[in-house]
Amino acid sequence: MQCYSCGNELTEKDYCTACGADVGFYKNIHYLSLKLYNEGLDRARVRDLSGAARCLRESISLNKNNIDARNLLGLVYYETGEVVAALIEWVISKNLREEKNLAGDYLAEMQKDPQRLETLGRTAKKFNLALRYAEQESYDLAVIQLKRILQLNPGFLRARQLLALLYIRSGDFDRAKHECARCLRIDSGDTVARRYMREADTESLPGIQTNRRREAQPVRYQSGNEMIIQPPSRGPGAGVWTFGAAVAGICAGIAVAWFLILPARATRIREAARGEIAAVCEESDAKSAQITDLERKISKLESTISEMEKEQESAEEVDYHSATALLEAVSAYLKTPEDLGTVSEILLGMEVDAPELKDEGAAALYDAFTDMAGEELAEKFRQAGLAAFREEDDETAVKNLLWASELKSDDPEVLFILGRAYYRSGDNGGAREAFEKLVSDFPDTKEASQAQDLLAEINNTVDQTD
Amino acid sequence: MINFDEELKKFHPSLELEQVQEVIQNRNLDDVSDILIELMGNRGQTSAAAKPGGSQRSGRRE
Repeated sequence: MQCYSCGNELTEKDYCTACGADVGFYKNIHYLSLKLYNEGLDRARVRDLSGAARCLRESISLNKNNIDARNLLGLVYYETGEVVAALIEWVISKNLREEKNLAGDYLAEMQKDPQRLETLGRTAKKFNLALRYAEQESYDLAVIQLKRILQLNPGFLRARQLLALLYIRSGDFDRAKHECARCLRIDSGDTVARRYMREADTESLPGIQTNRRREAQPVRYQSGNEMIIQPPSRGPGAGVWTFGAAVAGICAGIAVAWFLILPARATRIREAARGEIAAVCEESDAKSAQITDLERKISKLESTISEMEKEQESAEEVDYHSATALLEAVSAYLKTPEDLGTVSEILLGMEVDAPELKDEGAAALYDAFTDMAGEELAEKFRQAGLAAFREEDDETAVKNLLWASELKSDDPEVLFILGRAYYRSGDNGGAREAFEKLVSDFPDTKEASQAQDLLAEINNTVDQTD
Repeated sequence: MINFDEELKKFHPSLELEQVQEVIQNRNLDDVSDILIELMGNRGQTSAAAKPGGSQRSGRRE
């Protein structure tokens, strides 16, 4: 210890041996400060934190330079959740003695985890908010806020004390006792928690009804012969609370409708719309398929019509050509009846089925002409056909023999040679038709029996080909 | 039997982080030792004024 006057080291004397200053009181104050620090330390060791804080505050009020006492006070504050108060003590301590000071280590430790520091700092703000709620009689909000604080900073002693007090107020003595017990675990010398604990114990004893409990009981009194029972008063703020609760209920109802019912209904409507869209799509697809089918049919019918028109045009053309050829043939025959060669040549230019003329006039002319010159012409065609067959000119033979058969149908030889000409030229269909007609119309002739052999041969050839 | 309102008044707002600097700057750090030294200084000046030449011995060394 140094003299406050000259800075010299003091001895056991009550005065400074260097400057003679009276240092008795000064030394006593410092000794007392140290004694209080020791007591604070002892109390802190047994977790009597409030007692320790009291001693340490007194110690530094006697000697602000008692760094150990200040540092320990900061620790005690920190332990009781008063982080800001702890920081203040450590910062001051560090300023008073920069070197060899534990406060520097504590501050460095705090700065290592700034997020933790921020969280603890937030709890102070929340505590102030909770205190305001309690002062404004918003006790439920205060309790909620305090619970949040204690989740973040479980050692926050004052927050726990306030929570216990609020529990006592609401008659929740078990919880109040629980919180008091937690307070006493943090600070065994917490007189506030002890008082609250005793209060909660007293209130929760069976058979004991305090004013707080009696508040809810109806008031009974005798008026003459009648017993008057007055319902308990709910206090001046009860109406406001009821109205507030009703508004909160309505808000909650609207919120439920908004967040639960409306989305469900919207989903139902959306699903129904989706179903309708799907049905319409299906119907549309069916109609599209139907349209495609009808279009295909129309196209087919159009092509059929086109083909038929072509056929009709072709038939008309053939008919016209045949009628013209017939007129030429008749004209040639009338001019020179003996020149059958010219007439037959004209007729050979006609189609084989020319006799089936559609024009009635042409058909009548054809009939009259065949009646008139049919036999002669048939003979002419027969001769020409046989000659051509002999010369192996099957095409000419077929043309002539067809006309011969058309004009005179009672000659089996013409049909037989016609069939053979067809067969030899490779037209098995024509050959079969001619042979079958021969077998059918002239069954008992030798040409018919030969035709049957040739028919069998044609059939064999067809089977082998298949 | 505790009185809730009275008890509630005993609770004071907690210091917030933003207040640290302000609190430190405004805190009066004078302790009892400072008061004593001041008192002793005043007494020394008084006795020096009463005794000529006495002011040479008293006074605080910086």
